[in-house]
Amino acid sequence: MSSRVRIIASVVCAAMLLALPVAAHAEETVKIVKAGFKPDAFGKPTNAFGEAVISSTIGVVPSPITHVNVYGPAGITLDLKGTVTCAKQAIEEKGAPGCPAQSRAGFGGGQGIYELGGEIVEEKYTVDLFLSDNQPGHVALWVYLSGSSPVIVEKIFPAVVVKGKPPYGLGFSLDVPLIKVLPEASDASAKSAFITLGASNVAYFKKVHGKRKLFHVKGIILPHHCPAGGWPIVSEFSFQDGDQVAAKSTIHCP
Amino acid sequence: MSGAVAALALAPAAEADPQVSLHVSLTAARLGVSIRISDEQTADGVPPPLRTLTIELPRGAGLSLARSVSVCRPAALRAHGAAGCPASSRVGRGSATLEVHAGSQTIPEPAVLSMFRGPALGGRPTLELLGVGHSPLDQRSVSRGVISASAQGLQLRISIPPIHSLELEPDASFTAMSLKLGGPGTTVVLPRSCEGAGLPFGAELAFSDGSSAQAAQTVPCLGR
Repeated sequence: MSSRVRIIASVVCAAMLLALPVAAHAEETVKIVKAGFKPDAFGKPTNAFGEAVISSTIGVVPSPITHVNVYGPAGITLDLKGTVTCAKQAIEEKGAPGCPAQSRAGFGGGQGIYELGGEIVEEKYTVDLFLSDNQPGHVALWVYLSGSSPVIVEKIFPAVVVKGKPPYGLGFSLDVPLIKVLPEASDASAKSAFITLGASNVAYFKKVHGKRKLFHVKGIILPHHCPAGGWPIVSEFSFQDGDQVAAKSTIHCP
Repeated sequence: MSGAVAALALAPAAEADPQVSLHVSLTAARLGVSIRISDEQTADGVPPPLRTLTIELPRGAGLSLARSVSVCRPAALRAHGAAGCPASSRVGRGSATLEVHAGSQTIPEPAVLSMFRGPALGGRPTLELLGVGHSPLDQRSVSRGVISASAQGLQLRISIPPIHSLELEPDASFTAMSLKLGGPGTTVVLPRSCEGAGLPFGAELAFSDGSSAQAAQTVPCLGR
């Protein structure tokens, strides 16, 4: 389903080519196991979803992710009419319920992994995305990452909506902070990650002139056409060890 | 046969299974069934998605549908909602609360339920149950209920399809459901006699993870 392009830090490549005695370098791999749009009607609101599996060629704990760029196909647009934004302070104080329903932009989660006391610990985490800016051309998000067992973890960090180079279009970009669940634990990494963005069937009630009215948020709008071979998407991951991986995939045309 | 409302009854459940409470009310020719479902095994108390709900009625009970009650076609109900079926096919109504998992949150979604007379299935009467929720997700689902004889008397077995929420997130779960059966042309017939502690009702629920739960309630004989 996916092809992978590996970009390994040039210093490491050079060292390998020269066959100098270098320490074994953990190389991360990212595979997109699911990606799509649902529903997938041309020019209509959709939910974009994707799931990736991350692993390391050395050991079971991949290097922590430090940066992520995800790009959808060219032609995707956003319609954020009816949305509101959420302040970071609201998430800090109350978690995800602190944000208004109309600021929800997406959800996700995955399996985190870290080393603690010589043991490998896996922890399920969730991700909530809220609009921090909904102005066209300046759309930005808050990413609220949380886990509860075995250790409570909460991180809030920003993401921005960006435009990729053809054949890609709108996407998002974020710096992932280092996550240390306990001082003695290794920096946490992720074995898997999934996300659903958009609002194809999201609706909320709003009072208009004293009457309760149902509002539909459009969110992500699919392009009006699909190139032969499907819609291209790419996820670029940077890791703490300097490794960079781009996982490409294609979404079938409707 | 009016005015009898029974008290809440909690049924014992296996330790790992969800917990269910059943409340049955009987008024003139109408049957009301309320169910609450929870699960102590999950962090948010939300049970797995419900797959079947079987309501057991006492021996001698029945559902009488007049000729004026027309038939609602399931395909029309799925395509057009309640507007796809004649008003005269409505045999009951109710409400439900579902929980939608999304990220770190479990978001409640209220739904309105409408019951329609469906086409007979192998000679057995059926009911089509339309559920419509608007927020946070605007969607609907159609479930089929089949009425048939059972060891206890009569049962209504409702098969509930997976109610998808968001892609890659779990299906929605019911935490409460309330149904009222009866109305113009639709009469819930109760047994002619009532002996002992009263009329026995029961509910059996099966969930998507294979777990199950039961609840029972005896409604005191009317007039006592």
